Amino acid sequence: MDHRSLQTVNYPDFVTANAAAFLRGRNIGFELLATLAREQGFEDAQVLLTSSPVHGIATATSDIDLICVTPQPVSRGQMATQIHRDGQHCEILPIGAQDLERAFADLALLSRRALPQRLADYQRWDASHAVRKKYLERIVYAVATDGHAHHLGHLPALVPVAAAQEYDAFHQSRVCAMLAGRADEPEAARGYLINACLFAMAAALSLGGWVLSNKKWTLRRWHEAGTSRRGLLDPMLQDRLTALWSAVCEFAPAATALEIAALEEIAARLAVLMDAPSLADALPHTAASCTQAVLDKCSAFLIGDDGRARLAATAEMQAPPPELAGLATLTSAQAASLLRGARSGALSFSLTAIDSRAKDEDKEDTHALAD
Amino acid sequence: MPSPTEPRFSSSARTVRWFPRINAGYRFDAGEHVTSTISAAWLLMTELRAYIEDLAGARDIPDAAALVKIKIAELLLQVDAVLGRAVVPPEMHRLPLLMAYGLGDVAAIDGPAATRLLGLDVPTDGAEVDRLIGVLEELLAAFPSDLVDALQPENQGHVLRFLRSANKACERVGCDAGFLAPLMTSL
Repeated sequence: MDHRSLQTVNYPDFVTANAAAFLRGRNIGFELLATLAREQGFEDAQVLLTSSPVHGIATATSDIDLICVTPQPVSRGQMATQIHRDGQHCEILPIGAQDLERAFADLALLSRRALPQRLADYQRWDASHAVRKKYLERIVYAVATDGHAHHLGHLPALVPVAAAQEYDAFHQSRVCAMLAGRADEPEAARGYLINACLFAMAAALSLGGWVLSNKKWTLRRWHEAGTSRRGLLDPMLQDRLTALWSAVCEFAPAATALEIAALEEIAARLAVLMDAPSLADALPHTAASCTQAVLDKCSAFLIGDDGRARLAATAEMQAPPPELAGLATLTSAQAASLLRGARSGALSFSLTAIDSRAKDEDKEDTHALAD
Repeated sequence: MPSPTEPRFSSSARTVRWFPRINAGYRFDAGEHVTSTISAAWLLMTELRAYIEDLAGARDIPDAAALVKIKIAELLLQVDAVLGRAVVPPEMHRLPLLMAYGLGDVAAIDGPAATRLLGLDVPTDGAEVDRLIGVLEELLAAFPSDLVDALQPENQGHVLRFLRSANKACERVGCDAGFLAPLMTSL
């Protein structure tokens, strides 16, 4: 994976300068943050300022999100405490130091795994770790009340993991945009196109070392990176995605085939930067098992293992084509059927399936997932 | 000039009937109705209120406000699914579903109408932010219960009473109030 931009942007200076500017703008100092934490009983904790203030994108109504890394264990599912003081809204969340240490160790291991395993394991992360993904991401960029960013050393491990998530979401949105385009759902195609653009931007930003998975900040970060953080973005992606977003914002009634096709070049470049396998001759997918309860000769209830069901027409049930190019030749009904499968969770185009594709080709029953 | 029988639509909320089934007086299975409306109310008074605050803060930052609008669209699709007792679709499908199929239980509007109502088809300047906040305040006011801003300190008592009442309503209809826990921890 290309980590050149991690050297071109000085992230310690970036976050500490942002934190200082934010506090000046609110007429408060690190002392107040430390005091608030002490008052909540976190006398011996490392108090961290996180989120939009350290990324330089806070607005006038942004909360102050603090994380207290405590030497004592913290029970799982601990909620943040809301504090209102002098017009400031603060959230304080305790996290145990041992839990954080384990999370960083696992993140380092995960960052070295192959793409499908990296994706799959990170998708399950919150179920197996006391420190949830969103807090882990926040802590890496956090600035402590001593003015230093103590956890940025973990950024090289976070980058390949976070970028992989965004790349996978981009890929799935692209596939669904193609399906929606074939399925005569132009409005949906435009929605998937918007998502594909935003996920690709987030992947490019992550590859440049600027990870922030909250979608509401993506566009602002994109323009900030393009104007003030030279070298952070891959030039080709910066050029193509900026142009594509402008086209999407033309607010044409529907996404055009041209705009969806423009995602191909972006996908190819992202794959190179991610060291991801080429998808030119593949369409990885997984299908959840389900049973069928036939209603009549035209339809059946598809019942998943979770007991949830949906009624589907049986005539169009089929497997996805073996390669991405095959999406272009689907009939409208076939594309709509696959799209319903993806929306219902019965069919997934996540790249976690890259390894299992050959194995799944032998399983006829898995192809009943699309209706 | 449109004929009297021609359907009319404006981008304001004035022509929208919010929560049509609830406000029309439809009856539902008691247990499902209690859990779905409490879940929806919680999402609206926490997440939608937070997004309205984000919108106000991003009034002069079009890049941020434009994506808050998308997050609001995704949230309303989620609330719509909750009220309709459907499995909430994965996040990446919510915006496309709203743009193509619109809403049913939050408001009876099709995809293009929902796109216009939420301003997904126009640039996000200050006037657009003000318009959308007005639309969302009308939505919140149209819900039968009092959806205060759960994150404001003066409303903490109201929120606690809401949770106590929700718990009692669940007991009354014989359902487990545990469904509220993941909503609360998702804040």
